[in-house]
Amino acid sequence: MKLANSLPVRNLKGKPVRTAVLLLLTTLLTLTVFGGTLMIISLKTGLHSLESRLGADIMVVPYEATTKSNLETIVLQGATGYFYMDNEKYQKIASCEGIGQISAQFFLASASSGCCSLSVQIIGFDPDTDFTITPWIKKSYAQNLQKFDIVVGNDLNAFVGDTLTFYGVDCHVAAKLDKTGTSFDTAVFTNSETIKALIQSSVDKNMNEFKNINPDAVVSCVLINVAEGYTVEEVLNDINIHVKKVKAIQTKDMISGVSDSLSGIADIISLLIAVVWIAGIIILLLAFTMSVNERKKEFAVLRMLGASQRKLAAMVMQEALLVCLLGSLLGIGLGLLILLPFNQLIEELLNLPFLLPSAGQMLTDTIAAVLVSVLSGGIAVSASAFRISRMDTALILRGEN
Amino acid sequence: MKKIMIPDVILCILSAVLCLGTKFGFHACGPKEDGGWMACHWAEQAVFGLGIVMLVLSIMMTFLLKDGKTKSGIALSLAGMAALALAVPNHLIMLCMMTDMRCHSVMKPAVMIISIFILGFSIAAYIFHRKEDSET
Repeated sequence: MKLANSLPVRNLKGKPVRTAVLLLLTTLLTLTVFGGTLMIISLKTGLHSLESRLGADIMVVPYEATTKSNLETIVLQGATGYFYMDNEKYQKIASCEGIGQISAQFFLASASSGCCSLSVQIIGFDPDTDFTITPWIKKSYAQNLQKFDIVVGNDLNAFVGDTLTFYGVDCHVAAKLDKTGTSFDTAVFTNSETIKALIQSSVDKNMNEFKNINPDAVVSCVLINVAEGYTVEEVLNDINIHVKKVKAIQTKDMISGVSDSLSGIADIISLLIAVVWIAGIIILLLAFTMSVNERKKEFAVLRMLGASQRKLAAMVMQEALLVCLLGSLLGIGLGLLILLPFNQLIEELLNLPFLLPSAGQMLTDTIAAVLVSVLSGGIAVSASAFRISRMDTALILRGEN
Repeated sequence: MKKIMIPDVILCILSAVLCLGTKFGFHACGPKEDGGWMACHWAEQAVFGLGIVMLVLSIMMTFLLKDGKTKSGIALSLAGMAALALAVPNHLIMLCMMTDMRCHSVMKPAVMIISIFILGFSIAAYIFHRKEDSET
């Protein structure tokens, strides 16, 4: 109640238009800084999430697959698409020197189902040899997957216990994964036994691009971790030279495109934040200077009534800080209202891994944005407050200043 | 002269945005290849229907009615309908399978934000009209 009746608050209430304009300005500034920072953090969190799920040094795919424009997103992020190579290639790769861990994966894209017009990527792995997907799935589902058990990505509107039908085969949802910010969120994971049954069913129904393939005799890609004492380049070259019609790719190279795009977007956002913030401080500085000039006589009267120069400077400073605090809270509220519900749309528009940070990180970002906003307001008003503290009341009342 | 309250006018605008936006702006997923509709279409229809009723009620409250008690009753009903609109996408009526589909990424958040604002302004309108009624 004391604050509500204080002179700075009453001054702000007394000039609603001026207060509203200053409030709007600080709201927009905080929205830019908070929203921009949260975007950059989310992009970096998304990239980190993708990197942490790579798990393999080398990925081997059939040579024809390298002509697919979205190969990187199929194998790294779970976008829809599939290709196969003979199982004997897997055996040949496994016999190459320097192989530490090796595991095969199987891909299949589901046909459009009744509930949605988009197909889902189904990724199969061998539970006995897998070292990339299993550690991640174990965080959500500690047991071994049984035949026709599936684990669904976070963005699929299916829940544990539901039944999903792919190519006429009913699959039981055993677990739902944590969000990754990549296309893995809309993928389905299962063991090799189940995916082979699904591939067979797709072939039987004449819905597979690869006619007459034997699911037991093919794999989609091979993931490799290099053994100690060997370099990734050595093993990579060995596979590319000795195994025909396949392409071995270093996974780090595949992610570099995503990383470069992310870095470019993060730079643009950072530049935008800096420009808007500098422009904002200049506008606030001008706004406060004009406001103080307008109110010179008001300050002179207050001086005559006994207010010290220090008190007047403090009053102007308090008004500015109150506006900045309120504006920053509104800006943050608006930022959260846009970014939280529309994060899926932003991810689609950017076409990059996008994962909102944890609540703790978001709270830190919020506090930092409030501090930056209030501090900027303080800096912008400090010149005006200093001028008031040096003001000569007599000259102002005589109209000479 | 009849006094027009700002929250009432904002409610008219928001109801119109909800009603028209659901059909023409932030609509749900389009029809399937076979011409049939997905589950989210019915959520869109439900929100559209609620939006029409909210628009009619908010216009009545703003421009036609004079009694403070009636207006505060309408404001309360608008709040209830906003809560219902908030619950329609993916709660009362399920949306599509993947959350990166349009109904999840565009329609649901847009309906959610507008409904929250309508809820807030309805409560504000209720308070204003109660006050207006007690003053007369």
